[in-house]
Amino acid sequence: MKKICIVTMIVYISFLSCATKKGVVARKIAITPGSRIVVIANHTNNIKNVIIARFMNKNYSVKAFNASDLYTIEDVYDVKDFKKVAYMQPLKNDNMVSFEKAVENIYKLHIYNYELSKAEALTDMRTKYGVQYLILMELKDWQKVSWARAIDLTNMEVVWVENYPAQYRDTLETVVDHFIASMSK
Amino acid sequence: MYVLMLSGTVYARTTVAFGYLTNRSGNPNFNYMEVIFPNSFASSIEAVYDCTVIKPLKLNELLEKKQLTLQRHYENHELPQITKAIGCDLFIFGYFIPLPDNTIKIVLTLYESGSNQIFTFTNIGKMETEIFKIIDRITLVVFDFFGKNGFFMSKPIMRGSSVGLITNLNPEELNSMYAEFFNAGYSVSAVQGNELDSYYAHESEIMNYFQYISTDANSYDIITDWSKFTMTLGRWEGKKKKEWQEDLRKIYEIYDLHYKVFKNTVLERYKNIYPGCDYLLFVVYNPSRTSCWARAIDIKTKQLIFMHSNVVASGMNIDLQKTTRQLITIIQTPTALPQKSKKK
Repeated sequence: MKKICIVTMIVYISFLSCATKKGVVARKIAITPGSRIVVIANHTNNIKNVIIARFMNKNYSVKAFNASDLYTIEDVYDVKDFKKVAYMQPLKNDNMVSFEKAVENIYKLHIYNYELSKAEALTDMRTKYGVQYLILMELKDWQKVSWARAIDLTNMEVVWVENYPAQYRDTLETVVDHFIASMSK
Repeated sequence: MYVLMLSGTVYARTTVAFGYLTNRSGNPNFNYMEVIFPNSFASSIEAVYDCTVIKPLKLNELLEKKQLTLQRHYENHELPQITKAIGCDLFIFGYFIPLPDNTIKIVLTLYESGSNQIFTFTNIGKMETEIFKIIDRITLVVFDFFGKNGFFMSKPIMRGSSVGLITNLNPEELNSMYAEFFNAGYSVSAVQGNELDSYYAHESEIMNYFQYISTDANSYDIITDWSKFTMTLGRWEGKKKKEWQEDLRKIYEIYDLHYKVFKNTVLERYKNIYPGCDYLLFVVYNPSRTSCWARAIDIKTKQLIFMHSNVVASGMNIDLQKTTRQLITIIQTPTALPQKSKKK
């Protein structure tokens, strides 16, 4: 009986871990070799070089947006997370219900504006660098799920998404190659 | 706002009071509808829900006993006082204007005294020769709101349209959600998702602020009364305190009184930056991703067109994808009147 319980637990745990490592892929259009792209990945420069090299080898025109500097996005706290710097809790006071609503509206307006600011920066990417697609990518260890996404900068639409649970034999290169193959189909 | 919905399980009967549906056309020939409309809404609600209904004439009698009169219009901040005076849980009132192209605009406000929440919607439709058709149209909105977890839909969001999603999901989950929208035939504007990390995934409190959305035609909001906001003032107050007070007044003016104007200006810019985006959809999931609430704004008209406060998928092993599929089913399905035979 004890054995059955243990086996059931193991099966259940493996089922749960499978469920959390679900692969997802969906695409609207194919991003074919030759396209002008920017790849943004939150990794160290040596890994970024590997990622960019894989795209270059497949004849993509990679613009030097997230690769023109010595530091990574991770190091620039107030760019990555500047809303926290701008205004966090100090305005909030639980004793003032009416005032709370105004404060909430400040946050709401900020979020509406924040999405516009990001999009305007991406529009600049298209008009100043001539970029067609923005590729966002985060690579994880084999136990976790790596993800990537492509945005068509001409109309700001998401055109490809993939969550890829890396296999035990996968390497950095094979995962990037997998993503390139998937988005160019 | 779900007092009526809950009344099936709670023994205390909910009291719903109806004010006038004021004729704002300037044409006295339509005055007769001022009482007919609310009386009809009241009868429809009474037929379906187990609640006590107070119609306008009776309400006026009750108010007169307290040296008050039923007004044709109330400002939002006056509502807590009026509902307290008559001891009702919900107060429904509004106005109508017959429009030149044989249509009628009806604006109805539903105020719940306990939570201080207010739901206002506008319905413009054909000026039917049979008045019950207009009643049905409006009653449907009221029923949806009370009977389906704060559900409101002024039009379905059909496949083929482009949605911008703002959610509390992390990037990997966001991909799963986007995939479901792709598979259902929608385009997704990169309103959120054009960054590596999601700010909103870490700020659930801020995301919850979007439960309340106020737009010109339709609103779901909380009443605030700044006249009750008092500060102790006196000669001992220095210049700095006065400046602080002035700043506070400005904040109130900009972010409460004129908030809609500012927001509309921002939404106008969305049309240019996200040219293909039809709807902005706020979707906030619970931590286990087995349910969510949603609000949708039509970018072109800048109006709140959809809301649902508790989307839950049916069946076993509910996850983010199933919840999202359920949401998609709901946003694309036109609503219909419930059966009137059973009381809820």
